[in-house]
Order: sequence, then structure tokens, then C-alpha cells
Amino acid sequence: MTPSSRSTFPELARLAVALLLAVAGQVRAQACCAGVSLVGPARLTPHEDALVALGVQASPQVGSLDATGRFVAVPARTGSVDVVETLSGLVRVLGEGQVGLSVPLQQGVRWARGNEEAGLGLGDVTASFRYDFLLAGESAHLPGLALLAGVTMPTGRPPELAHQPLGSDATGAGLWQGALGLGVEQTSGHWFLQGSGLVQQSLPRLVLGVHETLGPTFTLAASAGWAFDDGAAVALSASALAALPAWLEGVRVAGSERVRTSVGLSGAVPLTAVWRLQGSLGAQVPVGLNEPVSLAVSLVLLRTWS
Amino acid sequence: MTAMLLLLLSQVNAAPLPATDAIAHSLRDETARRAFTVVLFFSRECPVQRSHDARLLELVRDFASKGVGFIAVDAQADASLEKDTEAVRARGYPFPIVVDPEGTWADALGVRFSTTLVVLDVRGRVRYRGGLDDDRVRLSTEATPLARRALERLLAGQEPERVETKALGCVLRRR
Repeated sequence: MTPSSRSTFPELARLAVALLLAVAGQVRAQACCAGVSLVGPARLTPHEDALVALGVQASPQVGSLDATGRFVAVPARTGSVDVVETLSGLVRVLGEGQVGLSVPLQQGVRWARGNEEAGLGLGDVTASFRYDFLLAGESAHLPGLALLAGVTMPTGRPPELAHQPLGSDATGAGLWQGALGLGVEQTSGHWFLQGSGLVQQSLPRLVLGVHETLGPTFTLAASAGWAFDDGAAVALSASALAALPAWLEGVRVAGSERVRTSVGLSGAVPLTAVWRLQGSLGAQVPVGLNEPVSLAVSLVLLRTWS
Repeated sequence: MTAMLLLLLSQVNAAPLPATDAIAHSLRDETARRAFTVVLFFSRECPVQRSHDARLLELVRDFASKGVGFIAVDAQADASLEKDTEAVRARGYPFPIVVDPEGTWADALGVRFSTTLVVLDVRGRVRYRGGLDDDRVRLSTEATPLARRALERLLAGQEPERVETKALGCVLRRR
């Protein structure tokens, strides 16, 4: 296992699922920017001032991709499932700005050749910011444009400090990460299209006496969907993540670059004027490098204030 | 701050715009005719607009007889005299829709979302700006009749309790 994949698996699994899930974060032809999920699992519609979201997602691992891109299935009688409950809040600031905080509770279940273990703990807390310079649909010629930013804090337990032999109690990446990007989106009648690009960089950290620096990560995401008159929405999405090689003690680690691709189907249903439910099914397609391959299912319940 | 928002109509493009009643309308002339004039920012596609049509007609019925004028404006980039004329007919609107694809009225009145109602007095001052009520697509019996309350107070010679509220409609697509 490369240093990078060892240190970031729980975080990336969570973020990849959130990437797909957040597509349904908006309704009424104001669909949520998929990219914003890297810095938060939901987003306020233009009329909303605040929201609180409680989400749960489960991600069983089905295999992994090695440094050559070869898919290796999870061996028989071996498995891994990550379950994350996330409590999030978003508040409108500065007119078209949104600040948020996501607090995940990470649970891992691992089993291998008759040995089974489970771990639980606080994951990495993420603070996010979004500012919409132009709302989707506001211009007939220009797409909506938003600045996306976020900081992930090392509040979870990093893999090297896990107590369980299979690392089921590792709940975080163990480092500070910052993300900056742009989101675009446009609507046409009931259709909406979204795209986003983000660059993520982490600070160096000390892992068992070794200085590790992960390479910058680039994420592109796109989605297309349909918003119904009653506020429900469905969307298909795809994303690709690429990370440059990591560095150990100032030496670039050849073969440690990572590539991940994902697809997903998301939906949102308004329960009342202030409550809505979002759900998603996602899968990482076996195209990439040095990444686990997982499936994902998630549900999020949101309460909004206008 | 007083409960009135001042509109300087001299800054508004006073050029008359075509409308579905085959009469050219200017914002200045509209407001000068009556004590209060309600300007509705209309959208043909917005589901919030569609769901509120019955309540809008009810508002017109109750207040037109009290001297309040009503006029709608289509300030979206695809505003079309032909399509808006058909909308007036199909929805049974007893008021015309002004066709304003340049969005001059929206700019003048600071409106970004369809279904916004702006109440202007005879001097062209904005006395209320916001929603018909606080419902979205799904209408509830508990909705607060925001525009109705504002008009009732204005007709009684009082300031509305809330001069500005949110209109929960769709974003106006501008050029």
C-alpha cells in the first residue's frame, strides 16, 4: 500500500460518496453543484438562510486498483464496510455566500479470515464556504458561477494511530487539507447541468517519524438532472479524481499517484416546505490507480430555514 | 429607517413598453393613476407562479374594487408578446403583462425572482416588495398572506408591518 492510499482512504471514501450524494442537494431547477460536496454535503437554495442535515452513508469495498490500474477483488472471507453519519449545518452570509460545518461519525467494520473487528470515532471535521457570483438560470448566456472553498481538519484518528489490527478504528486522514475550486451550473426548463473543478492540497505531516507530504489532488465533477415542479429532482453524475505522487522525507514516491472515477444516481424529494430527503447510489468504476473500489448508498434528511 | 423604500422613478427608463393589452405602459404612468399599484414579476414556466395563480386572482378580485391597480411584467430574456398574451388568456389574468426582455422594470425595482409583488404608491415609492405569501409550490392553509396584509394596512393609511419579504419564486433569467 502506498503512503497516500494508506493515509487517505477513510477520507476519500467519504468524500467520493458525498460527491455523488450532493447532486440532489438542491431542488426546483437550482440543482446543487456536485463539486461542493468536497467541502460540504449540501447547499442552500437561493431562498434559504440556513439548514441542518443529518446523513448516513454505507460504503462496502469490493476491491482495489493497484499502481498499474489492475483491479483486484476483495479476497474471499475478507471485507470492509465504512458507515458514516454526518451532521452538517449551513448558514447564509454576505448575501450569496454560504458557510458550513460537517461533523462525521465514522464507523468501520473489517473482517479477514475469521477475524472481525469494528471501530468507531469522530471523523475529520470540514468547514466549507461557497459564494455564488451568478445564480444558475440568472443569465440566458452565462452559467451560474460559484467559488468553492473548504478546510478539512485532522479531528479523526489517522491510520497509524489505529488500535485495531485491520484499522477499523481509523477515522481520519490525520492532516489538514484545503480545497479551492469553481462550480458552474445552468438550467434550461426542467433540465440542469453542473460542473465543478477543485484543487485540494494537504499540509505535511509526521507519520511514525517519517515526514509525509501528499501530492495535490484535482477533482472534476459533472452532473445532469431533471427538476420536477413539486421540488423533487433526479440526477446522474460522474467524477474523476487525480492526485500527484506523495513525498516521503523530501523524496518523491514513484508509483504513488492516485486516480479514481465514480458515477452515481441521486434524488431529492421535498417532504414538506422545510424538510427534504436526499438519497444516492454510487459506485467507483474500476478505472484508476492506487485506490480502493467501493459501492455507496446514502440518505440525508435536511431541515431548512428561509 | 421609515417603513418606506424610496423609488426614484426619474432614474427608471420611462419609455413605454408593449403589453398584452396592445397598450404601451410605462412604470411612471402606471403608478400615477391610482393610490396603489401592484406590479407582479411574472414567469410563464415557474411552478411557484402557476401554483399561486388562484391566490393571485383572489387578491386582484378583493383589491381592484378598492382602487388598487394590478399589472404584470415579464422581465425574462425570452419575454414574448405572443406567448404572454396566450398566458393571460389561459390563466384568466384580468390585468396585462408588460413585455420587458431587457428587464428595465426589474432593475428599477430591484427584483431578481419571479412571483415578486411590488406595491407602489401614487408618487412611485415602493411601499411593499416581496411574496404573495410564504408558500412555495405546495400550498398550505397556514400560509401567511403577506401581500394582502400589506395592502390592507396601506389602504388603512398605515405602513405594512413588513415592507420587504421573500418571494419564493424562480430566478429571473436575464439577458
